[in-house]
Amino acid sequence: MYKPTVVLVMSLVVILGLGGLLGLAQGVEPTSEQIVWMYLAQIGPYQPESEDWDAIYEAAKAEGKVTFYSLSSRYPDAVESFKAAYPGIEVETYDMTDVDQVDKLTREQAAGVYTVDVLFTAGVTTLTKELLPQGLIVNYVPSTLVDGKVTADVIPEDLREPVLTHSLESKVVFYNFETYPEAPVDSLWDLTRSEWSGRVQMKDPLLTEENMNFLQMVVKNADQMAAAYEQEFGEPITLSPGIENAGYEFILRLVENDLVLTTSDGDAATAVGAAGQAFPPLTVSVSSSKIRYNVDKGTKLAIAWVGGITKRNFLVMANQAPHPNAGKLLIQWMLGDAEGGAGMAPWYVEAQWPSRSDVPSTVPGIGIEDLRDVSWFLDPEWIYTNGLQVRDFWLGL
Amino acid sequence: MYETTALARRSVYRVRRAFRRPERVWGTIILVALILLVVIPVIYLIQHSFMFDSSGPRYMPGVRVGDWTTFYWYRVLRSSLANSIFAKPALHSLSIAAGMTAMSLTLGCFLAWLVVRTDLHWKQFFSSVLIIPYIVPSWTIALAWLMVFKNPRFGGTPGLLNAAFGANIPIWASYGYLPIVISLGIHYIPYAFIMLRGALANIDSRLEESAELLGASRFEVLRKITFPIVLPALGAAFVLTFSKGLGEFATQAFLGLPIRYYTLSTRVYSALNNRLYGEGYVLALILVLATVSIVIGNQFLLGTRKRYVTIGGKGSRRRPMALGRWRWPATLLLLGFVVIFVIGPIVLLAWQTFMKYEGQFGLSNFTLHYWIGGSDPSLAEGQPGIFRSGYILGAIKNSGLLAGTTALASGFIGILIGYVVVRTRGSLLSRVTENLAFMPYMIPGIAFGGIYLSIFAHSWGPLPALYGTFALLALACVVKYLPYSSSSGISAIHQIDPSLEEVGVVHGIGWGMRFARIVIPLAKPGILSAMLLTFITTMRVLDLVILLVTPKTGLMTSLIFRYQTQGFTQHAYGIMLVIVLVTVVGHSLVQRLGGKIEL
Repeated sequence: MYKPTVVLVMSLVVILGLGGLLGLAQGVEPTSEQIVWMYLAQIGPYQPESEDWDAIYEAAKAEGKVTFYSLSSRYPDAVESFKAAYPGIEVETYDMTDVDQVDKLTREQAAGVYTVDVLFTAGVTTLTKELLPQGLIVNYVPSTLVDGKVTADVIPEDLREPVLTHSLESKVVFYNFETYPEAPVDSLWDLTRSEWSGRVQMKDPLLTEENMNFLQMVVKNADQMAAAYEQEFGEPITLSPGIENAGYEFILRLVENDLVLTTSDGDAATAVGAAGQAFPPLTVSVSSSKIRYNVDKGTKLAIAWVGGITKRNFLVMANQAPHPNAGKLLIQWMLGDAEGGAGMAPWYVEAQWPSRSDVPSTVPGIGIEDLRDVSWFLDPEWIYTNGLQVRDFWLGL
Repeated sequence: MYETTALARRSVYRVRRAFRRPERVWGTIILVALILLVVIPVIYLIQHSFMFDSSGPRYMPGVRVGDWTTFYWYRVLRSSLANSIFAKPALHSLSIAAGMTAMSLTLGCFLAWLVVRTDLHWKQFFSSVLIIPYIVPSWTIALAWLMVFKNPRFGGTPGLLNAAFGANIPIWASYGYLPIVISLGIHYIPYAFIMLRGALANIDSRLEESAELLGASRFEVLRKITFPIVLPALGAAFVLTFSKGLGEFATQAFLGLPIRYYTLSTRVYSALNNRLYGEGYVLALILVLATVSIVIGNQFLLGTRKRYVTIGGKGSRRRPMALGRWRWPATLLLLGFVVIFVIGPIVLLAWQTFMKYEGQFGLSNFTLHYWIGGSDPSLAEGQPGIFRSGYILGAIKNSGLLAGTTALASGFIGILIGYVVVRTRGSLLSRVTENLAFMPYMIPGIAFGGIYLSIFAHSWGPLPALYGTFALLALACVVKYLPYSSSSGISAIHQIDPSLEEVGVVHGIGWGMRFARIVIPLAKPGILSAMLLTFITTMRVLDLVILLVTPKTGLMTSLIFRYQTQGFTQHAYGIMLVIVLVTVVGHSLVQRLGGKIEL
């Protein structure tokens, strides 16, 4: 007689066994396949000092296409110009957030599916502390750029290694210049004053790792925060009970000051910038390139350079990419030239900085070097080791 | 030798006999399929909730990713953070789900009865219009609410009430529990409406007429006859709505985050979106457990013995109940409701697509650019209008194809599952199948999509790796939305008297013919409800498919997502309206196919 229970139990046993095969890749040492691939593609340790771009183009034409994951939806023009510059190479783009890209890539690579070539993504901690050491991505820095300049001359080393930076954006404090002719705050600590109670907005750090990174850097730079406090209020800071340092204290006071969380950077930006408000709020840690809303949506946004982080977008090659030479051309193309260039154009906009230091900055007076002074670049080591404690602190508030 | 032949003959006989119980054959096939497609993902979830994910070495240097651990379970349920991660959000989630289910069921049920069983005016119109709140994404209703009720403290463009009358809206009316419950309640009215529409359509009027003959008032008839008959469908709608309420993310984030009102779904989303799988899967499993308890509770309370056969073999009549002097008042009341809560949000949405700069309601701001304008670099970074954009047509085709395929497959599979569950009622097979069919519901879409990616990146025996194909997209959607189709199917088959099929058996008609000529036509309302719900939901799906789509299978929802992240609100809303249009047209077609479902 047929017994469904028996069938069920047997199937479960079989499945549990099969289920064991579904773990994530754990590569630490490069496998032979990876080494062979890197050798044939002339990437990684096998990348020559000077590359022959004609030969690479010929190889790319033989490959025929390049598959590209992009975290930014502004890619169409860059892709069109690439296809025009390199006829014979098709481009297939997947439009996905950086988190989805990592999710998809890790699952693909674990299953031995190698379809993607180039990733245009963000998340320096995940890239440098997880994907790179596990060999799921390979850093490719073209030896020369589209206009022939040597890459090492125009892109600073920390923007080339360990992963190649494409562009930078800062996460800043915005204010409404229609109501306030000058920035109404001159320090991050102003955001904790009672006059701004309930009038500071930020995208929920639990929804976006960038904003959690902001809080993490605040805690890492607790000494700077303590000094800034003294400068702002004229006396040393007194920590609330149970609080370790000035960084955590800042987060606590920000939240106690009725911080308003939003689901997107755009919402926070429009809340601040909408015209005709008597008491517009401020934002903290909103993407600086949102200043383009002034053109698109008629908002009145201005940046107050009082503090925040600078986040970077990266271009990397996937492990065992099926079209490595086409990928090399795409990466080189997207880094642009000294005037921006067709490949960089969609991202060479106000308050976004290409990684090349010879490109004029879109914000007068603030170039990449200045960004290092007015904002914090991320420290992936520190974030990797201590970042989750900051997240837990936030969760418990 | 005689013994072997006898043995062979007996075995052949036994097999033949088993095949005369086709519901058992189908049952086994479906069970195996469900185990592969549903149980494996759940086992994956359970397994990985006990494994260190990439956060492991960050919390405790030295542990390896993939090692066995109870850390995440401890963290979510017993640690000092348990209150923030789990307890408080769980309480919020439960109260929201309870509130919105009460609201949507009451209203949906009442409206379904009005439209299907009475002589209300303009039934055709209401029938089409009342499904709209479900077609638009849930947060559009939240958005419409905010457009009216926004508290000025939150900056940006003021809400209508504040701008027009200077009214000071209390914060609890702008954000938090009340707006969430109202927005979700309205959004899910169509659920109950569609499910009950099918059930109510098949009630034999003579059941009600006999009660009237015996002196029952209209109200008593409702209470003692109609209500108990639709109770199973009501129970199914309750389970679906409540579970959905638990899992709904967008509205709860939109209306809850600004005042730091967290729910389980926002917690799950935040964990999974940061690749903290351990924490995310633990929370997801708790949600799955909650749904399973609701399903079992529903089965226990309503039970299979209390369901009523309403399509008997003796012919039936459907006569609408006369509303008498209530006819016009009811119609107008319903119209008012529809105008404010259904058409209102759509109008607000549409209005926005004609605004040059968003948020400014004046006529001087009117433009057709976002619909038919060419590329203008000063607006939306040079994106052309919707009907000038090459992406849109391809996306409409893909979304329509996916939704259509999924709906067709779901309708058929749903009725098959219903047949198996009801005709083997009481057996273990029946209970297991019914419960398994419900499980995909509660697994968060993004987790489900990721798991399917991992599973189908391999080939399984004769089945090639489905990764990157349209088939995988359709499969994921069909399985994920199995609960709608199976519960519709179950309710539908319940209403059919087995004697109708037995007539076929007596005449020697094969199972296939019986199923096609007797069961399916009678269950048509149920099948069509399932197909409709699946069609609408698949048109809106995003999370589930985001890891599975390829550039060639790009959907409209991916377009909306892309436009929103870039801040192109007019384009995003415009495409949403196109989705509404396509779905309403699809719904009318289905109604035409179904012929005289209820009118």
